[in-house]
Amino acid sequence: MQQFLVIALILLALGYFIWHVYQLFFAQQTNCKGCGLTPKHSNESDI
Amino acid sequence: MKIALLGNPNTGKSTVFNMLTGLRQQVGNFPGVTVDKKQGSIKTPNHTQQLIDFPGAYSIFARSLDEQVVQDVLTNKEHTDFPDAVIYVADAANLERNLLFFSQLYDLGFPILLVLNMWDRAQRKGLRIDIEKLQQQFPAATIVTANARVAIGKDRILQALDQLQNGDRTPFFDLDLTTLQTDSTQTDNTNARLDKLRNIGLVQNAPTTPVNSSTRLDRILTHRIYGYLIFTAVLLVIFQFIFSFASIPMDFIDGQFVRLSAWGAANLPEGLLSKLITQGLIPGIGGVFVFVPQIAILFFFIALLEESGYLSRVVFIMDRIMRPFGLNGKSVVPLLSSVACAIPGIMSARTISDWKERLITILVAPFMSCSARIPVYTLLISLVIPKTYIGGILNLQGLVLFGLYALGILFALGTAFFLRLIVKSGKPGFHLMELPEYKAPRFYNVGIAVYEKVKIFIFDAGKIIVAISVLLWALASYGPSSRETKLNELKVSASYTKASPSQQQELENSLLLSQSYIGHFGKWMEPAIAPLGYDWKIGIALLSSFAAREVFVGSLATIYAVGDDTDNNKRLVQKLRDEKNESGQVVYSLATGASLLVFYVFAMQCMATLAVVKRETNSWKWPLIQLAFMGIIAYLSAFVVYQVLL
Repeated sequence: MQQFLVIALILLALGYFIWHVYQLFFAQQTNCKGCGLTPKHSNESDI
Repeated sequence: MKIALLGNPNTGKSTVFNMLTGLRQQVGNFPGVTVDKKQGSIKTPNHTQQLIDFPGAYSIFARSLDEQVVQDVLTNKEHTDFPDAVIYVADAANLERNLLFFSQLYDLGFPILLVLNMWDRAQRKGLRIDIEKLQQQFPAATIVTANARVAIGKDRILQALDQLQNGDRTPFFDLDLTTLQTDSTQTDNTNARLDKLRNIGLVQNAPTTPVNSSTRLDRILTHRIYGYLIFTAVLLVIFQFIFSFASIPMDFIDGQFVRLSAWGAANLPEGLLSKLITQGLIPGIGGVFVFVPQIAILFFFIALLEESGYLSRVVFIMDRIMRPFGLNGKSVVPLLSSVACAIPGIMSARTISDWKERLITILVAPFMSCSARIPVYTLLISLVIPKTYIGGILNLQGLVLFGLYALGILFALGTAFFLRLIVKSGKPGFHLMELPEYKAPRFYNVGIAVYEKVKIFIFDAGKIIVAISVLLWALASYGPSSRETKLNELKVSASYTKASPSQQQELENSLLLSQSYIGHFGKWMEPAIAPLGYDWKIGIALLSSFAAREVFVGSLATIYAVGDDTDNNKRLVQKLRDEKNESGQVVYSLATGASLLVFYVFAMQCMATLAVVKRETNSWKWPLIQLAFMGIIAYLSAFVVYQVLL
């Protein structure tokens, strides 16, 4: 039983770590108009 | 019902939000973008409503990413955050400019409550505002006065929310968004609208404006020489506080976790699970909580300086320093924000319109020492720097901490200067900013800011620290089958048989750790880090802290808990102090400690920052270049420091 719980906790930690990395680098948060270093956005100004 | 909280930047919008929602707040993102969205619930006499705090905006015609978010939401009825009503916060002391955006929202037909905030300030400035005339121009709006900093106006706002007017109204000015699509038509419309607002004659100035105390203070605090001296003194005081006052609660928290771990080892049934709890989970969680006092003190001071209006002066004087290094005036805010955390700093670089200037700012921002470095700095400083006082006042440890922050700033400026020689860009832009008047800080707002930051530290950084602690524990507790063979060899060796039972236990633990998966990996990478003065355990902590810098402390706590479970009552600092290498020398010498400190000043040890750089530059190229050049600088500097001090 103890071994089962330990393995479950380790898998949980590993799963959370992978999910965290995925969220950081690959989750769909990149569709904003102002993101991306394109030379100039029409909606950006010096104000 | 959804209510949007809108207004120009610096009108006290966040203060109104805090006043109305108290601690019933959640921070998230607007869908699809990385702009913060704060929301909370408010109770009016008749209903419970949802209040969404939008980014500050000057107009419905977006000129920055933040304003784009506001425009996208307010002009799209299908948007999930489209509001049913609006609370518009205006700075009563700058009313005409603030009314531009308000009048646009009025013309869009939102039921709207106009809060004339900072009413006391307007009166002190001798401004007379004709509210009746204002009401005549905007008959469908409800108008209240407030002074949110001292919580005046809360009841008036809540009562007014139940009486907002829906339905048709005569527009104040033409606002047909379908025809106002180009920059020139939008500018013409805005100018004409502003003219109409000015011609109403809502505000009458006092006959003469005396030099007020804010102006007098500015003469000293933004002075070319005194300004910098005062700022340096302020920083020194903050770092002294971090070391002198945080140590008492830190020792207490550390002691509680050590006691909990010892209690667990003594009372939990023997087995893997209890080892995971006492050697993995408890040290990992302890590694998070023990730094709460320092994080709280740092953000207490930052919030205090911001509340008082002094932080705006810091931005102003730093602008003067950064310009000779070729940095855009608008880089100041991103770089100073990076002292708290590089992520919002990098995101706020969006206001820089020249993309190359923006790129340089993004690339150098992580050199500024962020709050995540505090746990690493303080652990290492307390290990290798003696707690002595210079001249009986200045704590040497605090002074070293100050030096590390200064080193980061200098390197950020130097790298920016160097990058400007390579990356050609246009003329540096100008940073126009409004200096708010000095105000006595409201400790309620300071308290909320500290609470939010500590919560984020515990729950965001904490989760990843605990996850990595568990994984490290597993890798340190298991090993290849050769481990058992080595253990059997040890048990028949002369050094083992002659040792006392407790020494035998130590020898066993040490061998098991060095023969674990993590031990094998650490030994494999040791030759690469040995020139910097690090052993394989430091190497593992260094590698795992790539996820986040604070993980370094949690990782060391876990590795040392597994490697030395004979004495559960020892604190981490003590274990590190007692650590000796194979030749019997102290591992954490001044040379190793200083080398580690310098490494952490320069290294890009933050996955989240890399992810944000990737997101903001829309490519893998820049984060990878940044990771490489910061890594090389960190390695070489740490090498030089270690070799010089050895």
